[in-house]
Amino acid sequence: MRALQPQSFHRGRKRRAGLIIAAKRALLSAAALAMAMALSDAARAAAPSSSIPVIPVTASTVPKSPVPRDTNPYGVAFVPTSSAWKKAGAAANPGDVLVSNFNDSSNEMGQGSTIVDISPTGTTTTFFASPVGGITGLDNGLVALANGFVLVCFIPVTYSPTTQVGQGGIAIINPDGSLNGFVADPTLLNEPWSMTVGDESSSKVTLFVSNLGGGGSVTRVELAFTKSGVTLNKGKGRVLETGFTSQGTASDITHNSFGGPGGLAYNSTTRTLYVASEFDNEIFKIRNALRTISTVQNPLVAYSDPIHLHNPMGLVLSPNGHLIAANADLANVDPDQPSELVEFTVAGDFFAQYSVDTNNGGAFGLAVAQPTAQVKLGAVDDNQNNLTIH
Amino acid sequence: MKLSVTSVAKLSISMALLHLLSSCARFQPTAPSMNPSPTSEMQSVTMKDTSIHFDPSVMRPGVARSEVRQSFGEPNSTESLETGQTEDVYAFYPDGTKFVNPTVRPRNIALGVFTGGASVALRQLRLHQAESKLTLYHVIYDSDGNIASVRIEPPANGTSAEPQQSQSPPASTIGKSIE
Repeated sequence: MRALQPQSFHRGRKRRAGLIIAAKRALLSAAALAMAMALSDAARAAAPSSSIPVIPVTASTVPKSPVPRDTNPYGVAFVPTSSAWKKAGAAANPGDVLVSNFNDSSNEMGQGSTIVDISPTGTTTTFFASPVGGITGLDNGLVALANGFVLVCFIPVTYSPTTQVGQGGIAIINPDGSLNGFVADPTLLNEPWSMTVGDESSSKVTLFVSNLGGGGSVTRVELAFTKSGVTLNKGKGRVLETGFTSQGTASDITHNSFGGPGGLAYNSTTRTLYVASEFDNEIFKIRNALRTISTVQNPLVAYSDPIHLHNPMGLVLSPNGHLIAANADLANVDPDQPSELVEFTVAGDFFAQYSVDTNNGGAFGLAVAQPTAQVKLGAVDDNQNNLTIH
Repeated sequence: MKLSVTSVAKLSISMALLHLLSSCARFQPTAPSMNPSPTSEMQSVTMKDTSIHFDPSVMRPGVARSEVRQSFGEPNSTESLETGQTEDVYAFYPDGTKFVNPTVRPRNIALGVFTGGASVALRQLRLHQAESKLTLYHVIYDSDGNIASVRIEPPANGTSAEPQQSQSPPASTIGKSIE
């Protein structure tokens, strides 16, 4: 028979048991904390040294070499995460942002000849400096392909003895930053001002190009990559549309009103090409742009919004399905909405806006990428000659 | 001993082939021509035309072929492409001077048999490209005779150094240089 024990004994036993439990809990907590710290240390040790910051990073787009240094950043492109960009010798890394410069050190339009590479942490290096005199005026048309080539549109402008705007073309740059060559065509590439990829493989790429020449046109161009070089498949090219308001003459250079059909964004799901037309101050859409063989006469207006659009130049399709336009602020200027990025739906509804500079005329080129779960937006401020990665 | 007609024919073909092969084996691209002028003799020996210097501003879209020839002289090689376009190839040394093709002797024409369809001149360019660090510029003209594309073929050793020019950026500025 078990003897009855006083209540104090039970209370003492309970207290001891409680102390033991508390001690065990404390030990467990300490062990868990130690483990968490160890895991945290391990995680820190395992993280790459160039881990991407969460807060926006702003970096200069002015190359420190060659001297004199170019200014006025236009084109923006994220370097893809493909194997071609992970090979030794590549002058840019996956996740970096490339930015092309349109002006030279004297801020002369159409004289810039460099592309800078900006790392996710904001380090600026020179990716490309054109060794060929005719390849100047690197503009808003800039893409980095998965096969390792970089394509950049250029419109050369010469000032002596008189101001002249050249036909331009597309320069092809090797992954190591050297020039592979260029392609030109007076119909398909006539003052090419912007470009986007419609379809790409390792051996060919289909591009959409907006041109200030040719009556303000949008064209489809196919480039083939072979062992003997990169060639323009002229037979596969098409003029998709002409008649966008264009100002691409020497006089427009002089009056600082150079522009026309600009940013392009292609939705491969709906096969729709969106066109930001600066001086029409609207966003248009061209259906079946990758396959059509006829010139479209009347592209549809995708977004018309004089309140928020102020000469839209840059244009991208965001992973959330929205379009984002960058206002160049050449006309219809609103001092209360300077240098704005405008986000809207493909159905034509305004969604959001963001100013990249407190003064007008700073927004221009932009690009989006989603290398991880997080969407990254790169946008230039050509008033400040910098790029911010959001 | 009488030889049949077939045997004679076979013998003749064999001798012709032997002669062809021996000619190729004795290929001497740098041999001077028979009646050279002092300038051409010098160029033939050095394979350089120092009077022509690489000018990057000539390589622009839309520039007429006549303008290119005015600046760079006769191309080192010319070919007609399947597309109906014409391709001129110009070769420049790292110092920017133009490469002069070696004298082509009749026996060297036989080289064309073994070059897979490429011209003798282009074949000779390739032979000298690695040794002399030549940069080849493949210039393709459109139907109007204007530059439609330019492809730059760096020296075979893989370097992408361009020929020297008055306004060229230093080679160290091209590529990945931390600033």
